[in-house]
Amino acid sequence: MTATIPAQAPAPSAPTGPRPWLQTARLLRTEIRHSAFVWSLPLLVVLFSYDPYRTAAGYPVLWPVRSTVVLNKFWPDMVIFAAGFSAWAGSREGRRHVGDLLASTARPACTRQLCALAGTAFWVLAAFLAGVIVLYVRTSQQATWGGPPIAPVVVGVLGLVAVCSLAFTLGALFPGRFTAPIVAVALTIVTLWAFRQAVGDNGGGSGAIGVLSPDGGVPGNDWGLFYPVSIGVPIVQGAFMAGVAVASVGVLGLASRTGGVGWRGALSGVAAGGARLRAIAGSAVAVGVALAVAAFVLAETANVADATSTLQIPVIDNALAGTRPIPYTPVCSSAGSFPVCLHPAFRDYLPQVTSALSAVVAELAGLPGTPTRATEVSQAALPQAIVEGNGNGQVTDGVYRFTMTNAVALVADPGMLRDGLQQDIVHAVVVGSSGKIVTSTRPNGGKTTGLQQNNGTTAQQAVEDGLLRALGSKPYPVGGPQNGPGAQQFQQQQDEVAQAAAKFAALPAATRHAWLVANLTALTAGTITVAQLP
Amino acid sequence: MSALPDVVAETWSPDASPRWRVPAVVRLLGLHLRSRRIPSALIALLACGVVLGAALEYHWWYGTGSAAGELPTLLEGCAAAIIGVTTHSPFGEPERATGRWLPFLRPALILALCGAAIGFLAAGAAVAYSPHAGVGLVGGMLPVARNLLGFTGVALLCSLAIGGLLSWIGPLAYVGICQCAAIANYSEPLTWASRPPADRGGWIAALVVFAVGLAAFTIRGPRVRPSGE
Repeated sequence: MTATIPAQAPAPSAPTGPRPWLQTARLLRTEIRHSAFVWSLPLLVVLFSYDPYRTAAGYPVLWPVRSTVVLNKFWPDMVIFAAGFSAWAGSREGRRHVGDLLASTARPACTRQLCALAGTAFWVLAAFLAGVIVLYVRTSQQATWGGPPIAPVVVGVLGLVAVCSLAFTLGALFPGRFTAPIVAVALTIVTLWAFRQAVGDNGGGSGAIGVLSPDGGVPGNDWGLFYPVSIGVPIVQGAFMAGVAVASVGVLGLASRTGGVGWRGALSGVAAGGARLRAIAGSAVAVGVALAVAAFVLAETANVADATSTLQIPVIDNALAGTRPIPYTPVCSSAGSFPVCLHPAFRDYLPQVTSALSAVVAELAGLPGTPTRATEVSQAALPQAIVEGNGNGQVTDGVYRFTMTNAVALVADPGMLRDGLQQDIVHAVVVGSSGKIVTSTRPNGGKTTGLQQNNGTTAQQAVEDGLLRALGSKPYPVGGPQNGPGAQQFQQQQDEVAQAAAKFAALPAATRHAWLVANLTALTAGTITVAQLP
Repeated sequence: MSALPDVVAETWSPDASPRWRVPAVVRLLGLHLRSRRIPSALIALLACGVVLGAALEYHWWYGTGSAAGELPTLLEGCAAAIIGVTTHSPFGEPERATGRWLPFLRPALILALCGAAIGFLAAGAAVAYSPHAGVGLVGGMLPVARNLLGFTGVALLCSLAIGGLLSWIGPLAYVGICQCAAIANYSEPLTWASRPPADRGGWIAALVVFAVGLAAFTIRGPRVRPSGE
């Protein structure tokens, strides 16, 4: 008997069908082609041109300020659409009652759901990025310094992905015809609430929710020009949004209503439903929650840095960004005119600033206290009294140091720039300092600090307003009681000042100047009354 | 074979359960309401009122200046979107051939839902109203009624174009446009939500849009797409 070794059976050939990733790509392509989000694109174009684009066009041409439109205007406009259509896509299977039909399909439910989510998110992000490109291209054609900030775009993308994921999961968990509008409005309300935490009447930016809100207040004009913008805040915001997105996708994989393994299945080691899906979905929930909690804790540590006047996360910003000034070469007015130097980002404003300052310096030529040159500085480099008061700067050692933060309005107003600068110079020569910060005690014993404005005497106000009137500027804003027993007296006093100012402004320029040369010392000392003015 | 006639007779005999017969009109109305998910819609509208009350009570939004009506306007848009979604019929084309009552049921249902929405929002605002604390709707209930009717008109017009289930896009997008107009101080009658409460132009624009939407919806009904949605 001879032992025979049976011939080895040939190995089964590998399936010749398309690879899984190719099938998934096809499914994704189908979802993109049939996404209902396309319906909202014309509406988004209208909203975009009406709100973010129009707003950005009105802002000064500064990259940091204009880029705030991406998160402050465009992102909130997108949220309601992203949430609504994601919830719509997520609730599709439940709304159409095709769960049983789809249970027997070849692809796992999770793949199907994720492709539907990706199809909607594709359109949302495409619309968002298209809008950002339009905004940035428009700004790049006008800006004179700097480059496009990437952080708002990254935070916006992550935020929209988080909104899509959360809304899709809610739609899948609670399918119905009313789910989409309700989820859209609910997430928009959350956005509004977070915005209030960021800029509202609770102090603004003091809580973690306010820091995590992408939608916030508009910073000053020199934000990001003299000192680097915080990198910690966008990192924390992005981490929180990523955490929400990952956790939402994990919930989608765990919930049995959406074809996942179910909550009990996730906790059971022997439950059916796929060990790999169970592990991935559970890990996603854990990682997402951990990421969101870590970002929330870091956001709690946010504070406003003294040097840069910007909100920062100390742990991250001290390690990455620091508070070193950004180097730049100032642009200065041409020889022959009053020397004025500005940050290169404000290059377009140099003729206006030079014209305004030259006119006022010519009017006050030869008088003590008149500056010999002017230079722009960061707002953080000026005393607190200037920042909180009416002025844009101060005259020290013959140099007018000023900030453009308050001088240029968010809505274009050339008169505001001229008025503010001329008021500063005239006030410095005729009255002196603009005021000081004082600490007072409340009736309940608490301490409060505030600006005590230096208005000067009525004669000083009359001369000051007369000079400004002759220059074509508005009178210097003077604070006083608006109601109560002192209001009437204050108003009467201001009427007298206005009459005297008009009379002083009507004098020939040479006569005004000669009177100032002869009497400025007595005027600044406060020994001249309104009645003694010419 | 002999039992069959008895069963049929027992099932269809008019004397079988005379006490439980429901008038045909009431039955038709009930079925129409159920097919439009009106109970769920009423719950959702009630939730809008509750949210409005809570938002006023706890000051959920940055409500000063031109943005003072931001969240109430959003909730009015949400209510209009819900009303718009109720226009979807699960039966589609066949329903139009089944009787003559549909053109009466459609506007009656919309008007009733608008009344309910205004009532729920008014109740929510009334519960939170506190003049001493400065809590209340800016402009009172007039803008709420005007905005809701106008947004509902937009939703009805959208239901004609893209179907009832997707008609929520219209009012929610229109809320966004009105909010932008309010913040930018750009005021036209067509952006009625950004106009003062008693503004005649805003009222005319909102009511015209509502009337046109309601008339067109009554005549044509919502669009039924090939997918059934």
